[in-house]
Parts: sequence; structure tokens; C-alpha cells
Amino acid sequence: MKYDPHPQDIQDLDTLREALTPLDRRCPLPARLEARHIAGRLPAGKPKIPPALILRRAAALAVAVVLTLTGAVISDRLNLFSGRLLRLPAESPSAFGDSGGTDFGTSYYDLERAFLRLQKRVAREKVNGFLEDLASRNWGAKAEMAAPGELFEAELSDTAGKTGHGQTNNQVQGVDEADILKNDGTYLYYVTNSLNTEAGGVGRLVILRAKPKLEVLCTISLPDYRSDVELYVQGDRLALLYTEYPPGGDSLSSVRIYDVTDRENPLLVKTFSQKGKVLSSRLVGGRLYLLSTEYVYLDFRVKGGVIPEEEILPVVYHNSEPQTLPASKIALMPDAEEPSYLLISSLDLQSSKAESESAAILGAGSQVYCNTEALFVACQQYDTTGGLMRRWGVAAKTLIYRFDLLPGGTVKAGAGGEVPGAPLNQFSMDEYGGYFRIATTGNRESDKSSEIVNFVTVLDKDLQKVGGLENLAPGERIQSARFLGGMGYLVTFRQTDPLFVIDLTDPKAPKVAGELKLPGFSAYLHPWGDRYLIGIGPDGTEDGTTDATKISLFDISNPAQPKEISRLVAEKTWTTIQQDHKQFVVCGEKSLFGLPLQNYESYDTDRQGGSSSFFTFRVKDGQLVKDFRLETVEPIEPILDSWGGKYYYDSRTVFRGTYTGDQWFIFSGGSAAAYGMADGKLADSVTF
Amino acid sequence: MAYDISHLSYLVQQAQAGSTEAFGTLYDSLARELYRYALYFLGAPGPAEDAVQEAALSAFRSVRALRDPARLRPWFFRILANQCKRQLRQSACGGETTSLEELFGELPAADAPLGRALEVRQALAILPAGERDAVLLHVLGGFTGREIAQALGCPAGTARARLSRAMAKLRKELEEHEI
Repeated sequence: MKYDPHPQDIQDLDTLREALTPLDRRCPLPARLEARHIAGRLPAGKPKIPPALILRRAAALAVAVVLTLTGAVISDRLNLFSGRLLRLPAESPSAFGDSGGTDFGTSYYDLERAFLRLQKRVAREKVNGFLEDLASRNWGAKAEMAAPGELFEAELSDTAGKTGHGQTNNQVQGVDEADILKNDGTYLYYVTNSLNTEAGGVGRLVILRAKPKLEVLCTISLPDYRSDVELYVQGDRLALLYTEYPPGGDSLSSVRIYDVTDRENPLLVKTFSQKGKVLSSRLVGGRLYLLSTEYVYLDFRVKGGVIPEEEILPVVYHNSEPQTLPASKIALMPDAEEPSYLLISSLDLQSSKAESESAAILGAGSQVYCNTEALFVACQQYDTTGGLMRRWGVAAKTLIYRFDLLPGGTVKAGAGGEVPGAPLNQFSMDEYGGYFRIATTGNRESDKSSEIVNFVTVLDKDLQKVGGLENLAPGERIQSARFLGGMGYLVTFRQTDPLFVIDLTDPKAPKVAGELKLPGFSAYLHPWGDRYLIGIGPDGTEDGTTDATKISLFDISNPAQPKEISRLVAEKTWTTIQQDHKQFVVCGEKSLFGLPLQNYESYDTDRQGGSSSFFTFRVKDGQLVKDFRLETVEPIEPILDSWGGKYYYDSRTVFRGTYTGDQWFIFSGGSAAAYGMADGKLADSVTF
Repeated sequence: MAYDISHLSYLVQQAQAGSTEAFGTLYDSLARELYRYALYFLGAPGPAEDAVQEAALSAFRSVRALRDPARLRPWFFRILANQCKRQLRQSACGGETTSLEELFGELPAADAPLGRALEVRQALAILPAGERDAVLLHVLGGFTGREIAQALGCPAGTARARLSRAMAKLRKELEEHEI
């Protein structure tokens, strides 16, 4: 492997390891760090204690606020399961068939059998009484309670004038994606999400006024045990989404919907939770779709041959009021290998009513593509028969579930299908002209060799394959993908970056129209008008990647001959955009775009990693022009360590940037700064 | 890692769903390596214990971020490495490097291997913290270049370069002391 240390270094490192061995014996693990003590300090109890005390407390407070201040009526009997939901015949999972009814026809008995089968399979995989050993350990775990959420106040003045402003870099127009920063042109809404040991992994929502002066209007702190907090803003409604880990309970995917008519005093309108961790979400036409995956314990009790319902049925909570999803709302996937539910609920963001449409399938999901009409969930299936590398290397195949989004928030099952390999991320999927296209990386199909190849598969409305390309770029993985109308663009990488242009205008016979090989690779592709594609990723030489980020402008007007017509290299930086496309922000009216890049000059100068800056670029006459490099206002403080080495703390990470009018706004862990778009000069800043 | 990947995967899922027992088992498999890392990095047992304990709590809180159970170890070390750095920042000038006797007990005068080990430990101290990270992860954790990169959150090429620079310095330092 070219990334492994130099052989001489390895040899010397081994010598060091041997040399240090005599000391190892002299520093045994202190008693305080033994596992039983650590486990005793962890903020949770047994895994099977039902709902969140903490959520109840917080929500009780919240409901009171709503009733007194907004007069919204929350019915105490929640009508959860009205309306049409998913329908999947249990017998034909890979072709869901006609789905017009109100439920899947799954009986509780069907569900029980499915779980008993899963339990049996997992039991077979246990060896050496491992779990018995685990069960016999008796570590005293203490449950702790977290404080309910608090609202903090700040000052308010009149609103600023509206001009062009930054928006979340959504994959599909009209389908909003949750992010940590939202900008409505007047106000900025930001969630600090950094894992912070001092504060205990807390997420905080900050609402700021952008103009005429950057100021904090209010801060809402979320209690501990929440993660991945993101938000949506639509008009005067704000939704916070997160996974929470109630002490002593199961993880919950939760939504808190606020009325922010008064930006200084957001009012909690309603809360919604469903079991499991947040997988993804979308906001389509005022309807919030929340997807979560819930792992179901297989150590359930069986009483007289029956599994008690509460052990295996999914649960949703409206304002903390639990509602069990009946078996008829759950679609069974006979091939599902994991005892996990994929839950989909849709909520009306503007309504104060505690109502949702919910449905589940037994089978976990991993990536989600969503347009205004349908939602596609990719579910990776690993080969459980092969060796470890096969099992964990690349997914053997990916099951695709299609769900139609109907007016009124009803989610209706469309079809199911499968493709070889696994998609990289949501940009590997797309629907156009009634065809679903997906780019995947997997093992070569024919000879079952472990060689990695890539696929582009085109599926029809029933998710049946109509065409495709196989065995593309052997030995390389897809690093980025983008489908734009009739064309698809793929970047694979081993040592150089082939950009493939795929002509999909005939869905039955897609073909490689053109190819361009360059050093480095693009980890993210963004369309720029009809003619260009912006690529962002590690720069490289013929030998592999280097310590720099390359921004490329590709001319794709001639599919047969894609050209890199301009490139910029940001030395000593790297990018995480492949995992987080929402870092990218476009200011179309000024032909500008920007994104944070991680700095690692740090390692040469003893300045520790983690810092990042916001870089802005201009597209002018078919050329990329470097604009500005904007830094957070958080201080750099040199720290001396106990070994005499120098350190700089890593709080200087810019997570997001956006713009309003003629100013850029960049956000880091505890601050926001405004910079002039024209001169790149610091105009204003606040800390929070 | 002593566990087969399917058990590891099971434990990680359990831990992600809130099982302290499962998490404790995962932690147990790494505890010694984690402590030694913190001890060598921070130079004193007290702060090292704090760092490992905090890292374990952080790890538990964020265990849902661990997507691939096979990457438990680099993931955990990354949390610890960050915690160690944070502690250095908080203790500002740090200062409290414990004497070798305090650290390792009474040292026999004529123990050649031990003397050599102490020389190596001293030599590690000359490295900037960023490079010491990389060396300790390889030496104590048995990490590959790619795993070091994962643990430190830098590109693999950078991790390799840091290791190389560190080794060049160590060679020079240890040669000067005729080891």
C-alpha cells in the first residue's frame, strides 16, 4: 500500500516497540480505568428500559408553553394511524406490486415469525458462549437524568432588507435537506454540533440577525445525549432534528417544531419522536419526512410461544405520548439480514396538530435519494458467507425500496429492486424521465473475484433493470457521481482520476460517451450552468494524492471530450466534502462559490489539526479565480505541552459559510463572522 | 482486537442502542493500549487516567458515529488523541511531567533493556506532539498508515510523512545517545 509507512520506518518502529516493552509491564492499567468502573460511570442503564423520562419532562414543559402562549390545541387522543399508508404484500417483497390499500396486510403472526427467524440466525452466529459471558457480567450501571431544554432570550429589533442569500446545497430542486445552517435572507439559524466534552456533546441552536449588524437574537440549548442536530426553516416554522440517547432508554429520532414568529422567543409547537437513529430527512412541500433505523434486540421474551407486542413493534411519540405502530403498517422483507426497522414518518411543519403518517419496513437502510415525487432508500446487503474482507469490504448488493410521496403526506410503497455493489452516497442515485439510475461499486460479478468494479444500472418504475454498464474501471472505486438530465458523470480513482461521461439518453443502452484522466480525483461534482461541472477533491500526481485540494472546472459541452479548462490548487488543505456536500455554497448571481477546506500546514508547523478556513472562488469567462480565504475569529492560542512541544487548539474549524446580500457569513464552533464579498474584509463578528 | 467481526458488530450495535455492558466490553479490549498511549503522550499518570476516562465517556456518547465496527480501534484512539490534546490546552503549560521513578517504580540500576526503554521514552519527548501522535499510534496501537490517518483525521499521505519525519528525528536522537 502506498500509504503505508516506509519499510525502513516500519522496521525502526518495530524496534522502538520492542525497546519499550520493559516499561509496559511497569505501567499496568489503573483500577479506576478498569472496564467495570468505566461502565459504571456511563450515562445509561439497561438497554431495554422504555421511554425517555427526559423527553417527557421537556415536552410537558413545552406543551404548557404552547397552550398558554399560542393557544394551539393538542388533542389528547392522537389519531395516528388514519389515512393511507404504505402497502406491501408480505409475499412478494422484491416486486411490491399493486399498492393501493391502507396497510401491508402484515399480521402480527407474520412479524413474530420473522423475528424468531432472525433470532435463530443470529444465535447460530454466536460462538464460545460469548453472550453468556457478557450476560454474566454484573456491572453496576447508574441511570442519570438530564435537565430539560431551556430557552434563552436576547434582544430583537426590526428586520433587514431582503436580497439574494445562500441556500442549502440540496441535491434536488424543491427538496430541502436538513443542515446545521439555514439562511432565510434575513435571519441565520445555526446549530453548533461539535462534540464538546466540557459541555457533554450538546447541540445549541443560535438564531442571528444578519443585517444591518450581525447579532445573536436567541440561543436554545439542548440537553445532553443528543447528536447530529440539524434543522429546517420554512417561513416562521423551525424544526430541529436529532438523535437522542435518553439515559436508560433506547435511542430516539426526534423533531422539535418551533414557531419563530418572534425570533427572540421561539415557541415549541410540538415534538415528535420515533424509535431508532436518524437516517435522513427531507422537506418537500411543507411536509417533513423523517427516516430512522431502529435496531431491535433479539433477546425478547417469548411467553407461551408469543412475543409480547411491546418487544418488537416500533413506537412513535407525539408530544411524548407513545403510540405503537400496528403490524399491518410494517412491510416484511424476507431477505432482510438485520433485525432493524426503517421507519418513515411525515409531519406537517405548519400545522400545530399532533399528527403524522407513519410506516415501517423490516430491513435497514443506508442512503436516501428523494425528489418531489418519490423517495428511494438503498439498503446494502453484505455477503455473510465469505471471509471478513468480503463481508466488510464492499456490499454484495443493494436493495432499493421506492416510496411514492402522495399529497397529504401519505407514503405509498412503489416497488423494490436490487443492484450489484453499493452506492457511495445520495449523489450516486437519481430519477429522470421515469427511470431510476444508480452508480455502485462492488465485486466483479462474473468470476466472483475480489476485484472491485463499478456499475451503472438503469431501472424502470417497477425497479426492474432495463439497462446498465458493468465492470467499469476495474480496481477503482467511485469517488463521486452526479446525474444531470440525460447524462451521468462518474469519477473513479486509483492513481489518476478518470472522469467518465455516461450517456443515458437511451435508458436501455447507456454508454460511456467520453473519458478524461487527470491526477488526483474529484470527491464532489457540482453543475455550473449547462456547460460546466465543478469538481472538488484531493490533488495528485501520477503516484497518488498529495497534500492539496484541487478545484477543477470541466467543460462538458461535448460529451465525447470532457475537458478540464481551469484548475486551482489550494496547497496544504484537504476536504471532507465527499461526506458532507452541504459545505458547498453557491452565489449564482455573483458567479461565486465557497466551501471550508481543512488546513494541515498544522502538521509542519506544530499547529495541531482541525482548523479550517472558508475559501471563496469566482467563475469568470470560463476560468476559476481564487477569491478570498476567510478565517474564523476564534483566537489561536499557542499551548505548551508537558513535553515541551507547541500546540494550538483545534477550535478554529469553519463548518459552514453562507451569504446575504454582499456579505459572506462563516460559522465555527462558537462564533460567526461577516466578510465583505467585494473586499474579503472582516465586517463584523459575534460569539455565542 | 480479540473479537471476531460479527461479535464486534453485535457489540457495537448494542452499545449504540445504549448498552453499557456492550460498551464496557468494547472498551475493555482496548483499555491498556489506550492508557499507555495517554501516559506516553501526556507524561504523567494522573492526566493520563483523566484522559482515558473522558475519552471513554465521549466515545460512549458518540458511539453512534461509529459506522463501521471494524474501525472501532482507530475511532477510539482518535477520540483519545483529541482528548489528550484538549487536556494539554487546558493545563496550559502542562508542566507536571512525573519522574521516572514515580511512573515506573524503583528502577534497578543495571537493567540494560530498561535503560534502553527509558532512553526511547525520553527521545519521544523531543517530538512535536503532532508527530508523537503518529509514532505512538503505530508503536503502541500497532496501527497501519491508513489507521493512523483515520485516528488523527488527516490524509494518509500526511500521516506517512509525519511518521517519516518523526523517525528521522528519533534516529538522530537515539544515535547521539549511542543506542
